[in-house]
Amino acid sequence: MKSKSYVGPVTSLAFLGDDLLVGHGLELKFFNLSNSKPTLRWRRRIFKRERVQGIQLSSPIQNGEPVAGGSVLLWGGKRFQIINLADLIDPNFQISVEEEIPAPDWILHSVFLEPDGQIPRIAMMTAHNTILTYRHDPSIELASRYKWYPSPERCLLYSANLTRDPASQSGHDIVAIAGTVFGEVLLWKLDTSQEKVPEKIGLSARYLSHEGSVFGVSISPDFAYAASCSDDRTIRLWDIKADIVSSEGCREIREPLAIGWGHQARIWGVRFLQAEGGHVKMISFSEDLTAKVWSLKLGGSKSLVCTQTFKNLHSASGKNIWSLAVHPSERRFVTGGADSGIASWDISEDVQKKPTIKETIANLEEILPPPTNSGGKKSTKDEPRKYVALGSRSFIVAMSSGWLLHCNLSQPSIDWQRVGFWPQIKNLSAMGAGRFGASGICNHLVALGDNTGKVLLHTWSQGQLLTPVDSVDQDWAQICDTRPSDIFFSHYQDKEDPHSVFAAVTTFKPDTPIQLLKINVEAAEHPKISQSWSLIPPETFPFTAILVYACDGKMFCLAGSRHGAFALYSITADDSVTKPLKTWRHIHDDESITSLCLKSAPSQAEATTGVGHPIELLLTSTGRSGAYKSHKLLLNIAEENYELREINAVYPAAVPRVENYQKFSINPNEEYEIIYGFRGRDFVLWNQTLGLEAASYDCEGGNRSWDFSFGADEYSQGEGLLVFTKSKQCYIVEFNQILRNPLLQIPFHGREVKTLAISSTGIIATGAEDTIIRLSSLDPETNQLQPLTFRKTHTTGLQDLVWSPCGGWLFSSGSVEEVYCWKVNTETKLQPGTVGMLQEAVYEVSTETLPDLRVCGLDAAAIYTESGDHYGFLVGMVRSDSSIKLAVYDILEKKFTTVAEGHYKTSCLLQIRFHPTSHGKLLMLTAGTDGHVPFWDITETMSICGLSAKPSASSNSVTLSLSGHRTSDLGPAKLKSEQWILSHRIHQNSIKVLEIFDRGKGEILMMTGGDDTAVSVSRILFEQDADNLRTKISGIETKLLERAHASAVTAIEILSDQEIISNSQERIDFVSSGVDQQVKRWCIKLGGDTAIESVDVVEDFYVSIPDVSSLALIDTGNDTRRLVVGGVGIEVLEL
Amino acid sequence: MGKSSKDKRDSYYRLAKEQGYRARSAYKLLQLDAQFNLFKDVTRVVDLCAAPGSWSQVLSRSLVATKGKDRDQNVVAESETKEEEVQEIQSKPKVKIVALDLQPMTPLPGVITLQADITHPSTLPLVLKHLESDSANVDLVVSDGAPDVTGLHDLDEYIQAQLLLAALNLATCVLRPGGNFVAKIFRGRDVAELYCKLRIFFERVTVAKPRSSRGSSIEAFVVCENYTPPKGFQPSLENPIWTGPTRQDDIAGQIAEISLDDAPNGRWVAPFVACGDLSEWDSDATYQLPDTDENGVKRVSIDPIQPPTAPPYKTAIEMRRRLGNGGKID
Repeated sequence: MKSKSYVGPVTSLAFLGDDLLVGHGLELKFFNLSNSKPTLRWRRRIFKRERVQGIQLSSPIQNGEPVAGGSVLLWGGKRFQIINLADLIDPNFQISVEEEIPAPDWILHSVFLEPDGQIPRIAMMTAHNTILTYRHDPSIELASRYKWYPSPERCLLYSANLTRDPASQSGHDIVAIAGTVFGEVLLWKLDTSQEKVPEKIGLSARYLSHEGSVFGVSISPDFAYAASCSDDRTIRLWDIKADIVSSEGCREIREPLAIGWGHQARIWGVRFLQAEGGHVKMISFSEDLTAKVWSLKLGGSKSLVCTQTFKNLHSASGKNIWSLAVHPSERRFVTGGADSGIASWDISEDVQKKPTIKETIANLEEILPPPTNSGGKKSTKDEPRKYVALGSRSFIVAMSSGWLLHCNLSQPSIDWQRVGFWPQIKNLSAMGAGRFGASGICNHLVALGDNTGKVLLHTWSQGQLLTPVDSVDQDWAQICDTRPSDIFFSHYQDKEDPHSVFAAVTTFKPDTPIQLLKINVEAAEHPKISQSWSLIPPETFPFTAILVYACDGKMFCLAGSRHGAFALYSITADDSVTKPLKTWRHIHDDESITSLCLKSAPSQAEATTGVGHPIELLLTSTGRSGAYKSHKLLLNIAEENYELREINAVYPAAVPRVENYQKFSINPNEEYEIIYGFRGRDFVLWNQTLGLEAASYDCEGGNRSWDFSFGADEYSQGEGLLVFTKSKQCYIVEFNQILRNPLLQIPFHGREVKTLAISSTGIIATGAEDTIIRLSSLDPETNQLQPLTFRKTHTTGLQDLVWSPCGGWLFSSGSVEEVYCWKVNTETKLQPGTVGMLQEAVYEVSTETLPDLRVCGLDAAAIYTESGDHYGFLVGMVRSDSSIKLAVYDILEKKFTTVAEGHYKTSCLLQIRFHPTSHGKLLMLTAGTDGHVPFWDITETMSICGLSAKPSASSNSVTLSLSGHRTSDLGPAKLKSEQWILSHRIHQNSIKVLEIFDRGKGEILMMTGGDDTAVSVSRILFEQDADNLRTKISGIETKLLERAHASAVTAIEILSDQEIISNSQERIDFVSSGVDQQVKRWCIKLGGDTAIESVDVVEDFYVSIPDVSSLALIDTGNDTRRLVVGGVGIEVLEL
Repeated sequence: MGKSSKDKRDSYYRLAKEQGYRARSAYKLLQLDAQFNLFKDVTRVVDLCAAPGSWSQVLSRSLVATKGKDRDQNVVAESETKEEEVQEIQSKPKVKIVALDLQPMTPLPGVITLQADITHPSTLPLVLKHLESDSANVDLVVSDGAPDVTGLHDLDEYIQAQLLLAALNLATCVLRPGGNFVAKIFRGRDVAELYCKLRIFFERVTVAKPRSSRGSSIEAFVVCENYTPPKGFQPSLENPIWTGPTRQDDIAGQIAEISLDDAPNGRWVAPFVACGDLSEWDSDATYQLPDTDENGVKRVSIDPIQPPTAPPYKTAIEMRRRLGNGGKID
């Protein structure tokens, strides 16, 4: 076995000039950050078994080059390596793990000392508050290279930091600070330059006030302050000036200089930043997924002020930022997480660049003419009423007085312009804008509706009004007979007809037609309505969005409603009044559809050639249901058949009120889906591709007049403009760098993977303690995991995942009885954006839910009708209250129906497997915490609901056949112990894994792994009873391999290599793994009858994944297979 | 989650309250005793990392004939002194239970509770003084100590191993030959290394998982029987073994020791025993509790015998509350 790739916690980070060194698992990675796009230059394994927990450089980089003789020190656990810096950055240099050096104890921190000529020297602090020095001279015996110093107090530490004091301000060359498991912070000093080791070393100070373990300590570069952070969620700052110089005894200080409150969970580390203008500054990182910048004005308060918080650094769920490094310029920092992600963040805004968010409150009184005091009436204050944002650098606002204003933001100072004054747009309620134009120029068509049903059109280009103002007055066109309520534009432009823009005008009258306008913009300055249609709404269908599609002389309009429905219209030149062809309800539950957009459509040529074939349109829509969805709309014009299929639904929990969605392509390999909307008081821009918030702004909620637009041109890509009214004032918020990708390495699960399953289509599904299900693919070239999509729907950590044999459905389970059915839609090539994941059904929970009733194990067998149609699945669920539920999932009805249920005993059940015997019987195997495997014959029980076992074609997918109709009114059948044909005791306690290999002809091999460290292999032969009623076991042999692993065995995967060695001997291999992090390959030799001749370990391999929970094989093509190991991270192995 | 829903989720939590134990972990020791007969002929016992005291309660109830009810209502008021002795009540004349912890512990009848660091050399004479002995004559040393688990598995397992080895060092100083040692262990990647170390000192080393310890937890217990130190071994808290070098001469030995880690496959693994009868409660199972007990009395959720010790972030929560803003600071 060989490790091919790794995903897991990022344990250390260090800047090397502008570049970055990363400790990731057993490897060191080198990222080049000087280019605009960060690139991974190389990765090299450093240790045999230890993770790289610390990186130190002997000297800083100068002018981008390593200083001659510079070295890098890497440590992890009780191991370290010292590597010449020039060698390290040479891409051809080979690091040998054999060169790793053992240290006498666990290293918490280490630094370089003054070298002894050419020989590097280091000092290290162990977890027992002991300092050792090491002189890197391979010519002498290892133990003699170390020098031991007496500890002032041998106690157990969680954190330590050694700081060199080259100027010897302290009279020593090393200042040590330590954080103990009991909340104490200890300061001591050491002079390593003296040949003689002192007999006794005393503490300089003991800082006591933390209320929990101290996880991080640091000393300021000027030796004036120390900072510590703890389990008690605080940062504490200590004045150490006196203790640094003092040589008398140990001071005990109970009062910190200041305390910083604000982290919501444990704090793992704190670092000092350059002091500025009488302020001490620090940065901390925590279990709560944030980093915080702290500041303290000296001589001021006793509270550290948090000046900046960086939230959800890599992903919005999970736990722990484990590492942080600040760039030498201190302008930015990088973080490394438990989720494998690495991200870069700006501490200070670059004055050369635009700020990421800029807020302005417009002073409209300066822009408007003074109100005329006519008729002695006190004039009411003029207010902004309605906005349209024209790209990210200009917008129009209609005032309650009748003034229409334009604001241009492309200049350094805001430029206002009065477009005109029309008394009829007082209390204007409808205004909208659409885009048109060719060759990269984006023009805007703006429509205003007055209170009599007239509509005014005018056009803008790059902040300039195209339509002459004097002609504007005459151009009001009567569209409807009542005041319009809204005007919205179709997002799609027909490439064959670039001069047409479609808009819809709605009114306040319910159940009245809307007016669809075709507007000709060939003469950009004089937009003309060339045609209009009345669209008659279906019942209860207030329009909220439209989409027009034209092809081959046919035109269609799809409309969305306030109640979550779609309606399709055919638009013809002859009929000016048109009825819907078809209506689809509950598209976004019953919530308002906020946007409709065409993702892809066949070209004119494609659409016309395939006569008889339906035209396939790919749509995306957003809704107040909190979702954005993809649908396929199939237009079969010849047969007048119109079909809508949902293919993807994403509920970005970070944006509960979704308003719109847009996809941006920066280059063919870099695309981002940005969703915007509201979350509580905040307007949020969410990058769904990265799973990160792009920006957010507190506008006090979305129930106000507002508009938002992304930058409309190439030069304004990544910009956004939000304009809104708050307290009768006009607020302008400019967003920049919306498409910024802070990630150097993509994040994975934020907590440990509990379950992993690979589909027959090659999709890796992982479920983790962070409550997320992720779908990934494996790049066969690089062996890297590539994220496809993820869902955060479960409210608890995942327990089990199982794919349908065809790979089209995924079943997932968690605690509080959660079981979901997901429809997974894939296209031929697996890549992000092509895999849809729909939550199709939820298994209804019992009325009185037991808290923590976990659904620990799942299995699914496919059901086909006698005519060969796919009907659905038989889903088996075993739970922590010892109950078993069998449910039929109907793929057409999208519904679970419980068909059988019962209890095993009272102990927790963990595993379930269906097995159809070659005699047409259906067996069910369960296993749990009591170490037994009962074999249930459920043939009869299942036949009540028309299900019978089909001898399966392939060895490990179970197929059932359904005859006739299920009778559902009988209620679920009972599962009883009378159905056991055997209860086989194998393990002493929990059976953590159970796998079956069907050898055919009524024979199976069953492998189990237990908490008792044993692995078992059983060879079982089934036989039919003479009376053909029950299955009988005619032969069973079990080999129990005690102490197969050093700790619990949690995963087994059968390699299915059945090999005939001789007439009487066959060989089958499987792999097992467990908490001891060893993956063992076993070889089973089978003899005649039921004999298992031997089960031997043939290979034993260490993986750097703690808490291994699962193993699965994936076929990577060309006859190669990879073994995927899941736990705290993922490791991919070559077999 | 309220205490009554936790009752349903955790049968041992409920049982502990009903039977007056300070923590559910009491059942782990009871089940270990049932399997290994640990308390037989035991008169001197040391409980390390004892707070909140549930193991001491088990020891006290099993070894000392106490009067009074199940729930210890005879708990004396908390004392102000650091080192507190509780008057022994009607104990068998010979039985001595000494419980040590760095945290203060509410006194228990028949148990001498000491606030002391188990790694500190001064602790040994203190323990011996309270055992009224000047030699190592303890029958049983138990330790249920565990660190704050960070989530960095290698560090957590290292710290737990250090706690165990600290307990072992103290045990080697006080155990009589033939005595037993029981300690919590994390069965992680380097657990075999610990088994090998323990086997040097004890005739039999078994790793046991009581049914009251959750299957999903990495914890188990090593039961080390018949203390037989190697010839010439000098126990010492001044120079403890396997807890990092304590002098220059230690370095060579420690490094040689560490180099063995590279071949974990060949290491000796202690035999495993699941203890507690299958008919006992399953700590992984969820139970549907009837609303009434066997006598038809409506079940009420009782308060824990001792509220959980104040978490280290207690003040942080109070601060957040005081600052308002929905409990968030930013």
